Amino acid sequence: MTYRLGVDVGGTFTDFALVDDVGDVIEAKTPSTPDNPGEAIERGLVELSNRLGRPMDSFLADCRLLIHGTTVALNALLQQKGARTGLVCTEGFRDTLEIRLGYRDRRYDFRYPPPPILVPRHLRRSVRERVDKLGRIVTPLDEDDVLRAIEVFKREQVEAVAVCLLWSFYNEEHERTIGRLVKEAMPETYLSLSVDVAPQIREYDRVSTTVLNAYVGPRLSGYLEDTERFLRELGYGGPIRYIQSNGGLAAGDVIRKRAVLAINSGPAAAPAAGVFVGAKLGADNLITMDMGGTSFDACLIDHGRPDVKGITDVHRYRLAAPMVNINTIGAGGGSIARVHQGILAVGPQSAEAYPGPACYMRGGTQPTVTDADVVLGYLNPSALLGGRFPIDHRLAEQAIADVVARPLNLSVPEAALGIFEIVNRNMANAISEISLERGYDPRDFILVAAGGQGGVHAGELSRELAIPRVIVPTFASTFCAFGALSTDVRHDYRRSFAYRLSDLDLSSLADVLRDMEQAGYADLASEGIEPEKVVVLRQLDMRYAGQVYEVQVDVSGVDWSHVDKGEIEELLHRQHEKEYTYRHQDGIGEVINATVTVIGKLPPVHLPSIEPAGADASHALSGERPMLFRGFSGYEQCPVYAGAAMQPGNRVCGPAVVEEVNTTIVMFPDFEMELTASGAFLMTRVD
Amino acid sequence: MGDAVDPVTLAVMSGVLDSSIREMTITMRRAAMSPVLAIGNDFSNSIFDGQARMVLQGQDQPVHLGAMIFACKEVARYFGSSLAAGDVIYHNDPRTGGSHLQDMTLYKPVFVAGELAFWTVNRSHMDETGGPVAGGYNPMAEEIWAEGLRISPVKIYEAGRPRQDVIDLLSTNFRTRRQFRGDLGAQLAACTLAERRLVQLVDRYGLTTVRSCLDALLHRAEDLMREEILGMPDGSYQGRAIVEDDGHGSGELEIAATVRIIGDRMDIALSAPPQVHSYINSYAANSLGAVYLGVITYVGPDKPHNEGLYRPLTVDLGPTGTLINAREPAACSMSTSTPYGHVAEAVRTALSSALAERSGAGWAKICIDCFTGTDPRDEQPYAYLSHLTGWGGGGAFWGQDGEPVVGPIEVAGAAMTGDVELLEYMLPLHIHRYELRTDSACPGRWRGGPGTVVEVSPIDHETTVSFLGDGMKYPPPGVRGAERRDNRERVFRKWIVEPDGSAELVRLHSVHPLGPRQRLREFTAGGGGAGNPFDRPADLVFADWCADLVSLESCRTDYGVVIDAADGRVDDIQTAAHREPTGGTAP
Repeated sequence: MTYRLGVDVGGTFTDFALVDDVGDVIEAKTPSTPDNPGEAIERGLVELSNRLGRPMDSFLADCRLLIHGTTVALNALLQQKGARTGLVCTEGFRDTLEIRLGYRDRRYDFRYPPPPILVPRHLRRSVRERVDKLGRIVTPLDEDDVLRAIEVFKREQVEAVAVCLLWSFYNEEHERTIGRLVKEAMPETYLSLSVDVAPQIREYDRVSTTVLNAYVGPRLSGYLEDTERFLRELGYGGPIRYIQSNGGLAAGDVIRKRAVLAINSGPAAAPAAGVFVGAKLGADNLITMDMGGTSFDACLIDHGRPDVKGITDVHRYRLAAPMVNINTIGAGGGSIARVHQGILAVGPQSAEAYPGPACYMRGGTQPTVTDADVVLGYLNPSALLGGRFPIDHRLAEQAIADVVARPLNLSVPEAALGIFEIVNRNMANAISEISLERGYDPRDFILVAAGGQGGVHAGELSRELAIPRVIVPTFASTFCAFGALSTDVRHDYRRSFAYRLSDLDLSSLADVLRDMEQAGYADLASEGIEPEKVVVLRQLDMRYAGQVYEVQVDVSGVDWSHVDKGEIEELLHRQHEKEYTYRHQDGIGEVINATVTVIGKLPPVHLPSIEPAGADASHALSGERPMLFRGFSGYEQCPVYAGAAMQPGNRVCGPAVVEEVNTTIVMFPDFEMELTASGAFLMTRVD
Repeated sequence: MGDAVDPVTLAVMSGVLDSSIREMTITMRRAAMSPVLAIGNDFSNSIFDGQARMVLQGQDQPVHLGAMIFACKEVARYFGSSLAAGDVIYHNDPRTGGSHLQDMTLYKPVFVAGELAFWTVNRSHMDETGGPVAGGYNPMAEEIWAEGLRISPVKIYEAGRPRQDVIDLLSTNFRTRRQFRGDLGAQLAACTLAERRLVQLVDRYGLTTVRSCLDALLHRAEDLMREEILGMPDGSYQGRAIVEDDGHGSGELEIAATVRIIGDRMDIALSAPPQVHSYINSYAANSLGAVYLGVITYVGPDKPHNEGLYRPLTVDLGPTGTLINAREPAACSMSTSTPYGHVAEAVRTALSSALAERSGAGWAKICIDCFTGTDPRDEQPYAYLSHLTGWGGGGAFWGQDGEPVVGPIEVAGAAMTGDVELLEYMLPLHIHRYELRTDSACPGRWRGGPGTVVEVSPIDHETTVSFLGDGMKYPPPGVRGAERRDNRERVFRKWIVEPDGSAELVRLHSVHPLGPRQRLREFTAGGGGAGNPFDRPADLVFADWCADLVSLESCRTDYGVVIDAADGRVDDIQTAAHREPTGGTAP
């Protein structure tokens, strides 16, 4: 028997998903150990080996692939514990990083300070050189200036050096020379060149990305080395791949050089899990939602492809690298409800793991979403996690009474419903931002609900957004670890190729695309992926002349031997109309960047199908408890089903609750649900 | 009153308004075409209820804060019952609530089942007005008719169908008509997307519930503002600001504000000299917006931005015919910065004396250039209002330093300067230099945000540059011990530099040609400081010196900190001796 193993190290939990040749999946979950992530990994591996009944070294020896998601890079940024970084920039443009385009993040909060600048001004060193907008060298590089900068970096014990010069993506010569000089003088230093990290127009995006890469690079590299050594010591000898922010896998060597690609490493596996679940049910338009303790992640998948954004702000730091567009907000079971200026608000503050929701009996007095869910009868009033984690529902009632009900002159159940609905509204907004606001109609999608509390809230979210169907996978609580198993290798290549359509030479553009494609095949080959397993996607970032932002135009289907400019222009019009309601018929189309994505397909995970049983689920009925739904005159006794006892084909009608060990599914009175042959719950609203 | 409203529905509704307006903002940023909108974000979105009351203003341009409150009411009154579903109205005239002619406003009345439920409104600074000077800023203008096309409220869509004749009439008047059509498309898209959301809202909750929620939101904002004012000490406070020049020989012009705080209300009276034969007059709506902004900078940030906030304020702009309460035929194209920034500054100065612990120093004013010419690459005309050369530093607050290059307070970081590469790509310009400037920030225990040095040349053609605004003579005022510093040099300065290096200082309100071998060199001002600079901790002064933000000389004279440059450390003994004789007070 051989295995594939997914390990997702998150802030609160480290999740494991192990799949064997037959398709059997074993999950495990251990509390994370942020100071030494290996501890939690080892504990999880011990648990897996116990469950398999095999010694760890022997089962690891039979592991053929280990896929890892980590938040190390993100944490280095969030905690401002990245490397001491120096920056080399074009003379006269020392402060691009600090000026931040003159932008302030909040309009009417005049005292809201900017985020800390990752490279202080005395470590930003200018060198004489200049390339113009056509890529011509107008001022040659003064190498003495570079040497002087290096002296400063050495004196100041800089651990990483970023280099970002104006227009370097049109002429890399100066950045390469500086890179060479730094490497010679400071061989141990982490080096980050903008032409390697983000060769695209807009110097603020580029410098911010190059600096971020330098800033998190040494920490991530160190972590990769430690983890790989540690896994080898435990007996694992196979390849290790990492989840990148773009939702694909890459080898450690790639991630080491371009650490910034792993900034959202863990959550980026969610869409893969979504695609996997959807495929079993023949659906490829999906919105995944992952509702954990403190945060809510949502991602849109259009025809099997997750939405990937080229430029994002990560905690107020600009990042120009492809990232799966995961919209994260502070909404989870631990989100705190309060009355602010007479209005009920929920989150983004969280009660965290400690003290946690009031009902956890750890001294928390702030009411949370979990407390509301308990009061409404949606969550088990005496214990969570399949009975392993006792709670006290009276503490939940007390906290809601004190903080919400009394100030708003509501009853406790009314206040709990309010908390439930406000957090749903916040999550619905987060989904709107990635769907409605991007020109997608949620009604064309299926909601895939994951995370411990996803199933409690998904039904109402689907109603709010008019999404007709909801899937809750049985592995909902280890969603990303499972997603890691069904992720393919992916690399993105982007070149600035800025021309108006009238000036554009189509054959040069085809050459640029082909060059990137070949680079992609070569990179995948070095990771052991054969050409027939490769899928290529081509995109142009296009806009109307004058616009500052581009729309992403998919040109994968274009036949470059026969294409004319009218066809490309029409693709721009269509995409623009989709996103912004109109086409600018007399606008001048222009291309800004050309992008190629190569995806190396790994063998898919096969879960065994189970023969469906009948619709009757009464054998799984485990009891009943009072629940309150909007529109009821009061609490009503509703049935509770044990998810583990349900068989494929079994159907349940709302109002009801299905309890799995790590997740709970709440069904409103107008919902019905079936456990499908693929082992996922499919919930539908009956009109 | 709002108490009758279910608090959960209210919170949900407030969330829908927020997300609708955010969608308008994103759409404008992404779809607009002229640099001033697409890079500069010089636009604002608002949602009004069926009675044309502003129920939410977006997180856009502070300079438009509150200004649309009057405009939407004027437009609603003008059309009265002749409005129908599918109508779209366009407008810019200052006499009916516009600010300057560049700010063109699109209004979309939102009908649900035949009832007027909302208005979605976008005001955008267009890069052209069709006047004698491209870009609309005409320092020579003595009357508003010399500034461009005045648009009284006019329907550009009627019952869902475009009035192409009217749209063509408008675009025919503008030099950059292709951009105009693109920008207009973005304005319409923003208002239409928000309309869809609001219709869904009414469909779901019904108009009656929606209306009582909107009433509650307005009341809530009013209550919060009253609470805030109640916490301010009662009294009468004075502030003033000086417009240094109108370009037509009027000399200095003083704007004075008296702020009376009485319990939970605030009475603000302003006075100003008669209107001038120049482009710096402000009509009432624009001046009221400036007063509102001045007040808002002193209240807590997390308020619902609707017109209820302003109910506790009584504003007296004085008689018509003045610089701040202009009447026809006053020219006004500069009014959104001069005297807008001065009105706000006069109000802020008065409030600073009322609220010492919250006091804030002046921000750099707008001293901006407009580049116009014909792009040699495609022979198309362009107009570029250069935020890049116009933005200085933010003012310090008591308790924190000012921010670098966030522009004047009426912009406050909403309108970006833009990427140099993007500007060079879009415009026939080469930017030689753009970075922070040593000794530009005004000293203080908390110093101002630094300004910049910028150098620009046109490529392969001659461009025309208009030098607009204010701020070449007076630095931004400091507060609480920072106001006495000699900051005469901490102002805007602009030169035209010849190939041989000789430089000619440029006067405000002038227009100059600039050739490809010349270069424009500009110093933008830093922000004002707060508190005595001799009280600034020496290690912070030292850090600013290491960062080249403060010179050795300024460390010593302005901050009383003596640095041993050779050893790279603060000379504690000399510093103590230097700071001592004044008892820690700057000379």
